[in-house]
Amino acid sequence: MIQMQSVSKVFRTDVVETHALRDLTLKVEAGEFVAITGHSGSGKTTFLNVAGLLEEFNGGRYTFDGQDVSRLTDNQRSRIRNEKIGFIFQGFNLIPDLNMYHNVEAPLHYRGMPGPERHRRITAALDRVGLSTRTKHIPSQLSGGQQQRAAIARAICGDPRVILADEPTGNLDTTMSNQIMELLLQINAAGTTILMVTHNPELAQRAHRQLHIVDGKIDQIHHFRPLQSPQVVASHAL
Amino acid sequence: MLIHDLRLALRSLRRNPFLSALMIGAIAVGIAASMIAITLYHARSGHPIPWKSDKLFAVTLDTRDDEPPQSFERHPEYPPFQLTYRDARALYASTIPAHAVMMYRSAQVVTPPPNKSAKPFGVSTRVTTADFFTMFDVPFTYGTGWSRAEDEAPGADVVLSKFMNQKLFGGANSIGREVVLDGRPYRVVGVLAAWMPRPKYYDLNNSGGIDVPEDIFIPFGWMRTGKLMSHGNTNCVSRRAKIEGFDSLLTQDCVWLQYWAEFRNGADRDRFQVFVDNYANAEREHGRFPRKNNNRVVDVQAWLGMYDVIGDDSRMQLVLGFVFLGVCVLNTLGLMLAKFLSAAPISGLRRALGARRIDIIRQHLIEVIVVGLLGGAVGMTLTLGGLAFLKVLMFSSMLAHSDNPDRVALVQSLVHMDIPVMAAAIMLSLLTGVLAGLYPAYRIGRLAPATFLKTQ
Amino acid sequence: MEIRALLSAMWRNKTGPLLVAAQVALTLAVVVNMAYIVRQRLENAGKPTGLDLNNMFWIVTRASSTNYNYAAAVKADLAYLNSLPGVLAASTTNNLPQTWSNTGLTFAANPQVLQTPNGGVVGTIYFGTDKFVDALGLKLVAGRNFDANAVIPPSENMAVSLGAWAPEMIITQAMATKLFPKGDALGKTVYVGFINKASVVIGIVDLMRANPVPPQYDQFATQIVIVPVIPAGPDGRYVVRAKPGRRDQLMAQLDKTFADLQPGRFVDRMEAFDRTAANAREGYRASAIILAVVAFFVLIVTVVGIVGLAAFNVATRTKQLGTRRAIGARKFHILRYFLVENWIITTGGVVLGCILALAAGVQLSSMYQMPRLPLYYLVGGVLLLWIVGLLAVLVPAFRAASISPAVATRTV
Repeated sequence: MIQMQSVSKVFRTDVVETHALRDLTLKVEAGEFVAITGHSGSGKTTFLNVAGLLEEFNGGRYTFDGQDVSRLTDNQRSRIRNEKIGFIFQGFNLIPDLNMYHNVEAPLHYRGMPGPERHRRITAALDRVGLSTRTKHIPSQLSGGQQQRAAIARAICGDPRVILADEPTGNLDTTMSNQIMELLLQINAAGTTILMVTHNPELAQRAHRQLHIVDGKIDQIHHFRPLQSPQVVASHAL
Repeated sequence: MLIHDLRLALRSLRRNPFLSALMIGAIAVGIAASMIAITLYHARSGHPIPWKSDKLFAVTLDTRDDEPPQSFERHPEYPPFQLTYRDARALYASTIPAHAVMMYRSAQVVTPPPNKSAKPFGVSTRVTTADFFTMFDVPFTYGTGWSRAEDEAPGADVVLSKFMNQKLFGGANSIGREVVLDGRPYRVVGVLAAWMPRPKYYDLNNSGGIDVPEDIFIPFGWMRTGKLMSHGNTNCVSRRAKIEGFDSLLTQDCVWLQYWAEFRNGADRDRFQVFVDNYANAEREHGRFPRKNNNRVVDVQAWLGMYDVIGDDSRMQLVLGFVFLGVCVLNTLGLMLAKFLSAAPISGLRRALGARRIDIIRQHLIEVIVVGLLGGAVGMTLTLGGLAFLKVLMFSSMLAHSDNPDRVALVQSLVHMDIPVMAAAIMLSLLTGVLAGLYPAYRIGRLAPATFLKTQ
Repeated sequence: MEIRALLSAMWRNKTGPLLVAAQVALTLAVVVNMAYIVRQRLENAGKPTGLDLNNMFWIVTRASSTNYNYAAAVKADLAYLNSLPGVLAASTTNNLPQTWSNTGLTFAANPQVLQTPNGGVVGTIYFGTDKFVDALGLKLVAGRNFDANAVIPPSENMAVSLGAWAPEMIITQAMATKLFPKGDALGKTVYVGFINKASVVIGIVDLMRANPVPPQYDQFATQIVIVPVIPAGPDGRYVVRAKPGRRDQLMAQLDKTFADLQPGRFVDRMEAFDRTAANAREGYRASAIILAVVAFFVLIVTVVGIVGLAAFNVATRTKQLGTRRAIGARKFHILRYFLVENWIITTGGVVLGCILALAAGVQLSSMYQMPRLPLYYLVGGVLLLWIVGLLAVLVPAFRAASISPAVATRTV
């Protein structure tokens, strides 16, 4: 699914040159749940940005879902993000003035999806994350856990191949964190690849693999459990 | 406490100079527009003789033919603003008023005294009966007017304006000196002090109220002898009028004279109204006054209102100025709201450190008032500049071809911001600031401090 | 396009949009009405006069002694002026055109009409010599000019001279059509009210507009009767038309010499007619400039408001915009969102503004006795505000569109 070869990313200002990623090589199979760990400043956020096509990279090769994404236009990258990637952020990143329905709906609009199909997917997604009674609520009316679940609904309603989660439980208490993890594991079990940045080692251990990034490179790889064979991948209920 | 708030306010303005400049600029422009409109309006809405407004009355009679009004007539219900000679004489003969004057505007040529090697020049004059000076409280520097006895058999007396005395005699006491008008010699019996009623209420017809007084005053009795023609509006209001010579203007139904009366009390005024109506009824027997009685005895302010010295343009400009100010207030309100909401985290921090809601609101209101006052200060500068520009734009033709400094003073007075107007400006800028800032200050005060201390 | 979401979000934050919409509404009302009034004023000022103003000037003389022989002086002055090589024609006149100084009488084809209510045609009367038509640059379109010997010499004074009449008259086409709608004015007799005289129409001139009056009075300024009478003195008023390019030099020359040519009189004033006409239009010009400037600034302030709201939105929505891009919005989507959001606000203001504009228009047209505000002004105003609103929001909208999707993962 995700294949990076000697990817590097440099931030240049007038004063200083920062090598956020150096010669990073990894491979993520379809259906894997990979945890990304590292101290702050290690480059894990940059890695996620590059992986999610949020930022361009300077060197190396990056193949996403079989497609070389090294030299794509901004519009092409946006399209791939829209159709194949789902994002979950530490701060939930819900649009504050919209209710849950409209928040989840947002990426489907950018795909040009017609109304009835949007509605079907949104209600299914909200139902999947357990928020069907809260469709008309706005973010400030919901708890952190509920907001993150809505964000997950937004991430999955478009049927992405990969979900990129940046410290999804960072702002939540233990109970809510577990809820979110459960949800993510269920989604992964249904066949969606998940890359999750986390600094919580307990959560990291529930993934298939953990990649530890230090100074912009993969430093260690831990295997926790094997990937299920592709036949076990259930049909996408969405 | 207030100093502290003031310092905070100024620091806050300095923090984002571009935004502050926009807010101050918006208020300044709005204040300037409304202050200019207010100044122009105020200049035309003066009370020229407030201590006597309700004692002096202009009189007009409806001698018009009984015709339907024409489409372009603004106020067909008003009688003509001037009187015929026959009617003015009849009114003047009444003993009811304490004082009365009948008069008209003329023009003569002055031959300067032989020692001054100046050319002859034209002057605007007023041919009037004696009471003019006492009725309108005209101030004298030297001498006095003439007496009522001279109305029928006038002496060759004239009264000079201050400017005319300056021009002919260098401002000296010229009582007894000779002035030659249209070749006929007169004697100066009085010289006026500086006098410029604004508006020129005693003769609105020939100037719209915006004019300097006449330069020389001549007794009414000279009208016939000197064949002193009216240089004001002359309007024949009846189709049956026949114009054959100078005397036609004295006998026919053509209006060209002004008449004013001063009464001792309200009862006298009412008696006079009855007198006027009875006179009209009597004249109706002779075939005049075809319309129903529509004769008016109006005091100074009512007269100014009827004539509409203020004018539609002044009113429209006033509305326009305030609409503009309204747009500026809305604009500043938006900018201020944006600014306050963006700076909300700081307020949140202050609240967390112990400031009460009222403190936050007060701090923001002070800032708002500072913006208003600064906007007002800039606005005043713009106003003065705008008025100077308008003076040239609107009144250049009034200043051309005249050596009369009163004319310059008159034009200046039309664009002059006097004390009451300046005070209004200060009030307005305060009010504007408060109006623009009240809602934003309230919004920021109402927000719970915790809202801003979260990282999201 | 996510219209429902957009409207829903706007509704939750309605203060900013409402403020801008209110400004747009007031601006539309102001701009539309001011544009109309400015147009009216400029039209009033710009109507053709039929006079050759650029080559004309006038001289006013007054008596400086009691034994001034006005009749002789006038005769000599006219002879002198008309003899000058730079002069096309010079005539006396009772009133100078373009100075708001007029004499009016009523005229009718039938004397009985003059005694009926509102009967007769009100017109402006000019006393001139046989050179009057040429001195003003008027165009004779029918009949002939006066003969030199048909000019009646001056009488004792103004009121008497109204009585001293001439048996011929030249009238403007406007007067001819009013008096004789069938178009057969030439050769007909016209009766004059107040002075009870009559004259035969011997010539018709095309157009003369005596003063730049508002439309409801325009008939009085164009319905003109010219009679070959030299007005009574002692004031002399001369209208002189110079050959092209010669006027200024002529005026300078006369400034030095004319006064001393005749004893007993002095030159009160001399002025070029285009200056006189400009002074007569000072009020229109001034108000046109003032109103246009105000309307312009109101528009500017509203533009600042639009830009301010958009910039504020971009600044406060930065995280949100980054997130939208992250979940797949293209730059175009972001741009479109801002443009549509702005358009909705502007249109809301425009709708309210139309109501305000029409209401104000009704007030103004009754106050100034103008016809009602034509709808195309409203259409123009709406288009202007749409375009201006669009241009105002472009820079903030492009800024918004260029927010990087990586903003979404930032934690600050």
